[in-house]
Amino acid sequence: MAIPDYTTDLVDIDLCEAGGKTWAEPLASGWTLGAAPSSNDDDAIQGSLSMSKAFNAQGVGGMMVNNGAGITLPTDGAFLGWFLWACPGSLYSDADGGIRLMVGTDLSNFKSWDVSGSTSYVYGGWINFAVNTTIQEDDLVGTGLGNSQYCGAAVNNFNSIFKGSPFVSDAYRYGRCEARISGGETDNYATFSGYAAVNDALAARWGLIQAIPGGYLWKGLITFGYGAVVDFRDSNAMIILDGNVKKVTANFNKIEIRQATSKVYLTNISFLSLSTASKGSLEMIDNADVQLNSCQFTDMNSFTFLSNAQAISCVWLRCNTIIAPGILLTNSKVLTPTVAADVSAIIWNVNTDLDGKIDGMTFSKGTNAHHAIELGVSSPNSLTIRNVTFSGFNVVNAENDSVLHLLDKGSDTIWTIGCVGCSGTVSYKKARSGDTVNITQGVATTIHVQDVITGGSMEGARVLIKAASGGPKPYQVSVGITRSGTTVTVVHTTHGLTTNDWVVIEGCTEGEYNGVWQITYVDVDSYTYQVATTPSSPATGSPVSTFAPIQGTTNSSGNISDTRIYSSNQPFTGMIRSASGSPAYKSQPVSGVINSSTGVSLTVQMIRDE
Amino acid sequence: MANPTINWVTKVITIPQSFLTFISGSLYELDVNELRLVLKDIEDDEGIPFPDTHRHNTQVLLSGVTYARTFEIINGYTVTFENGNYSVRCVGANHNLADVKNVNYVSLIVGNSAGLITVSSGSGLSTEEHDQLMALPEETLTTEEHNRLFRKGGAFI
Repeated sequence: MAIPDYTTDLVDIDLCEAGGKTWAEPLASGWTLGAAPSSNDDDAIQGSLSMSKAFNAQGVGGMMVNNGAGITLPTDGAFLGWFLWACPGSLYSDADGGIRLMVGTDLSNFKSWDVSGSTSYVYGGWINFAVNTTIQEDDLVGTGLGNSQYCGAAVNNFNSIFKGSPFVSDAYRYGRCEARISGGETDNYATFSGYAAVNDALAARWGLIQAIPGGYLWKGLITFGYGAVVDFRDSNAMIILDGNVKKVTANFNKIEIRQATSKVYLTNISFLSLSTASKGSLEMIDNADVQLNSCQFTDMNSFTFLSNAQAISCVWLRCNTIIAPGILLTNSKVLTPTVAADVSAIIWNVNTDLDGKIDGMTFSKGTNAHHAIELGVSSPNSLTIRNVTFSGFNVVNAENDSVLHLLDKGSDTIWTIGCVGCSGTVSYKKARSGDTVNITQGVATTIHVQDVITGGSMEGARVLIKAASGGPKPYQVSVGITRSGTTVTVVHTTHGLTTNDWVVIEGCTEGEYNGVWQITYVDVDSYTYQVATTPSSPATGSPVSTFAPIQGTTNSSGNISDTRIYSSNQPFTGMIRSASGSPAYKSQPVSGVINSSTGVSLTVQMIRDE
Repeated sequence: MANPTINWVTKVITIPQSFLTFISGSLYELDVNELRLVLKDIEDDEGIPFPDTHRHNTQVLLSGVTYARTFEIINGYTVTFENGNYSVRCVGANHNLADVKNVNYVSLIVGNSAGLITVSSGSGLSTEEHDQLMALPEETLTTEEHNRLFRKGGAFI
């Protein structure tokens, strides 16, 4: 890798420095108030000079710079211009065009957009405004835009300013307004602060990612991996989408992730969009390694992930659709999204089970009558939804705000959807009338452990419940075991297990492979677990794998439980032991059957062994 | 002090020498009850999927006499003491360690003490005891010796 590289596509129109381009007042009738602009060495925001203008007048007046040639904006690009007005209380409101940006053919023919005013420019100060010329103008002057050779700003002032030159302009640029980030390496990753340091340099002041107290002010396009791989890692920061960005296209504010080998790791980063014109979206152009942990996105637009992304314990508040092709979203929340009626908050259109991917998520319905999850034509017919909370959705099927939206696969489909530990009714709307939808609820296996003498609940008792023969879950299935590093891969044909399930491995000559292991799903025929040592590989002997619904210790109430779906009754055996403290107890074997409709609940009496 | 370990594949319980209490010279002492508790602790952790290593009956008070606990290695487990030229004296419980000990240079002083025993066949005497009994003229036995051998023979069972 390389050191971080922070650049932009912005093209300078004029930086208001010595020898720069010509500034003048508009000549159009009604736009000529105030004095002629002149160079100012007191108030620059960029470089050492700016252009300022006295304004001992009431009404509209401005200043424009001649680029000397026509300007063509890129799609979704904008003109950017720095603006300062020293007397914000004297401006008309935003709606009355208190502050305006103009782009046009010349000083008499241009368009003007109302970008601010006393409504939002309450405290004054330097603001970097953006305008896309495809947006409907607020004022058409003469023949209008033409070749966009001139641009500038104007104010609509109701109180004459007798002192000084309150109207200041600096650094006009145009482009896609792209913050281009690449590079980054160990101990020198690309970061927001790194970009802001370049952006905020006196000679730059691009107005793209700007350091502000407590975080960063962002507008435009952020490209992670522009032209080369990026290793961007940052944490614990607030990114605010500039609320002064009002006259731009909807796609103006956007994050793009490029280069398949890029890494973008964000931890506890909060994005807050204050822009209503362009709420900000995220799109993975290439299938990079994207890891979002405990990030929050508020009032943003849509998110388009690719399969290598993951977003764990993240929160989307009042955002639009999230396209999630099989990505890990565990413990994340999608709250009151802004998706349209009959559209879904999450689009899942990939042949990957939801099980283990969206565990622990929370969905709450927004204002529109929308769904929580859309299962697309590529999604599997049989899925499990585990420990997910749905609130506010319609409990009735076939509604625009039923929880699931099942798309038409082109032929009648039998959907089998198991809900394990879910909260809220999992309703559905199917797009194809001939489809059959079976939604089943998981059943609980609960073990309660108590002292036979006192009857008191025992905390910390070790409980292992494993499948016995005759049930739907794996019981002593012959498997193949190999190891790479400390990762053990088990080839187990159509195992039907998922990440965090437990298995008992027995029969390996290399004893380090044997034991109870929590697995990570790889595919329908294999999973992995971790060992502390490095026994020879592959495992020899007669390795077998048995599913274990419960492995762990009892809680303070003496209970341990598991909830899952069984297609038929599941016999089990098990062992309860408690000897880590005093008193020690005799081992207590158990056996029984987990009823596929009602589950099972056992109380185990433990005998002291002192 | 290192604790005993269990190889779950070979079912060998290994007792490090440092787990034993040094007495003198090459004599060490094993608290069998302490061994039991360590094994139980292992069983309720990494050993949860595996069969019990032992069976235990606690000490019991009968008519003012406390009878010792018993500790029995079961389910095919064996015991290996860390090899060396030393002796291990067992205390704290009657046990079957001599039956399951893997042979090496460590010698075991069992220390079991029989009380009332159950005999399912024969007299209950060892061959040596039988020969000694037969070699003695009856009048040479004291009443106490007579009763001891008589009980050992299982006549009261």
